[in-house]
Order: sequence, then C-alpha cells, then structure tokens
Amino acid sequence: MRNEPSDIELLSAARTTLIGLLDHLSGPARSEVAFVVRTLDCVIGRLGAGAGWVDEGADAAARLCGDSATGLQGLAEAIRAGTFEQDVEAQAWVRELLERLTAEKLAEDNPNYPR
Amino acid sequence: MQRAAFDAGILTPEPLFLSDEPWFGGEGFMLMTYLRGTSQRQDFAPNGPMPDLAAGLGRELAHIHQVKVDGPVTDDPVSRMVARMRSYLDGHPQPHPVLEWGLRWLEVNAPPVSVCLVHGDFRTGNYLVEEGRLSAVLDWEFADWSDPHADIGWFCAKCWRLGAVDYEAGGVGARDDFYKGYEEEAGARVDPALVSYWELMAHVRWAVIALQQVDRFRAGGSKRLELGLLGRRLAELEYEILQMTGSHAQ
Repeated sequence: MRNEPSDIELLSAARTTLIGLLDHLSGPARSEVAFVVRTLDCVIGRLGAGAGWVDEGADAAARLCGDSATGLQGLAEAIRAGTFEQDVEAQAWVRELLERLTAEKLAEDNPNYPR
Repeated sequence: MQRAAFDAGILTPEPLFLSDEPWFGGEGFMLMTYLRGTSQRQDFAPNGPMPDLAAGLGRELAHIHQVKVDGPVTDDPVSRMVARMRSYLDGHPQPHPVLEWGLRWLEVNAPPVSVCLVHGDFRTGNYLVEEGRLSAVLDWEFADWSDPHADIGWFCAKCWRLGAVDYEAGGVGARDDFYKGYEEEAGARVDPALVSYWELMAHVRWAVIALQQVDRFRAGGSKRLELGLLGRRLAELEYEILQMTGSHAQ
C-alpha cells in the first residue's frame, strides 16, 4: 500500500542528479552542492539502517538498570534520580553509553560527524 | 519589562501598544518606536571581531541588571528552571537521557545565586547594531529574575556564537572585552566558573526549546520549516552538554 518508489529510491535519484550537477559548478556553489550530496548519503544511510543503534542502546540501558522493559526511558529516569552517582564505574559506563548514542545521532544526518 | 527597561534608560525601543488580538498574521502584536540597525551578525561583523561592540554589549547588559522592577522575585532560579524543563520532558513521548544527564548535573552542582532582573534571551540576533555600535536590545519576552551570570552564560554559550565559535562573546568579539565592559558598568567582577555553569544551563535550555519548537511544527501551530529543522540540531547540543559535564559528583 505504500507509495512507490520508496524514499531511498527517490533520494538516491536526487543524489545522482546532484552529482551530475557538480561537473558544471565551481567554487562555493560546488562546495554547497557537494555538502548536500554528503548529507543525502547520511540520510539514505539512516533510512537503510533503521533504528538499530537505538535498539542496541535501549538493550544496554535495560541491562544497566536491571529492567528489560524500560530501556532508554528507564535510563533517563535513573539518571534523574541519581541512581548511578554512588558507583563511579556505573556512572562512567552511563556516560560512555550516552556518548555512543549521541555520536550515532550526530552521524545520522550530518556528514561532519562520521561514525 | 521592556517598559521598565526603557524607562531606566536601556537602549531599547519604547513600547507603545500591546494587543493579544490576532489581527495581523494570526498572532498578537506590539507596536514600538523604530530604531535603526541590523540584527544579522554577518552584516555587522563580517570581517572579524568587534572589541568595542563586545564591550558595549557588556556595559548594556550590566545596565539591564541594575534595573529595579517590582515583581515575583524568586531566590531559587536554578530549581525553577530545572523543574520547568523536567516537566516538559515528562510530557514528551521520547526519552532524552542526555538532557536528563545535563539537568541532573545542573541540579547537583547548583551554585549560590544573586537575583536581579535578567533579559533572558540576550544573544546575537536579539539586538541591533548601527555603524558598529549597539543601537537596541530587543525580544524581552523571556525577561525574568535570575542570576546575572545567567545572561552572561547565555550570551557566551557556544550554541549562540552563530558559527563564529572562536569569538566567545556572542560570535562578535573576545570574552575579555565583553567582561571588561560588563565589569566597568556593574562595578563587580564576572565569575568565570559561574559563567561556565550558566553556559551549560544555556545549552540544556536551548535543547529543550528546540524540542518545543519541533512540537509546534508537528502540531501544525507553525508551518515554518526552520522550527522543524531545529530538531536536527538537538544532537549537537547534546554533544556539547556531554563535553561540558564530567561525573555528577564533582
């Protein structure tokens, strides 16, 4: 029932068109279009990858919080409650997880933040 | 607040008339006197830092902090701000653990505050510059009572340098020039540690505002594309929040 072609197909076609344009451009205009192409690469990558890193983060958070049902919501609540503040190791682990998730989020649509 | 600021001699347009009636563009409006200038940094500071402007902005901000206004003064702005942001996150469908991390850090490390009138949105884009000099301070809708370093932190926060990250005073000049102007007018020292704390508050607050703008966009309250695009900036703010915080137990 979904519209065809898919989002990825359309964006890929747009990307191809823009790459064709690059040959006719120079200077700042060329840099700008090249950036849009790289941004499209990120967006296409995001659409193709699904939300795998979010699920992985949720699983990791659930293991940390000892509650398989709550995932990232549970992690957010535990951080607010100060649950990990007495345990240096756990707090470092939480911070590392947050940094990993943020890096993934940054890389989703910004080519300046490669994974 | 703008009336009180104008009466106290702050460089701001005189407010003349306020209406909640949705006459123009579907929203309420305010009439005020016209002052010349541009708010666009790329127009008034295209070629590098502007030390005199940075100092002038510091002086004017210190002047604002000296304005006396009767009102519901609070002596605990940090708790109030943190509670307000958490309340918003509680009603949001997605969890935001990095914002919770930042809010918890702000709560645990809250410094003592001295309360005065603050502009609440004193940043590049919200003032006018004419021939290299400050000509008007605009956008008073977030004026409130808080610590003076809240405005200094908001102005200097990396997220409000509009791409000119090396010019730590609002993307227009050096932090030292801005502080010098502020200290001359205020007769008090700027505390860099307090500014750092309020710069973190600025990043968390701006992140929550970005979420609110995305909600407006999604709910159809505004069709402005830039409100939707703000959501894609959230990760950059979260990155900065993590960079600015160590462990919670400092």
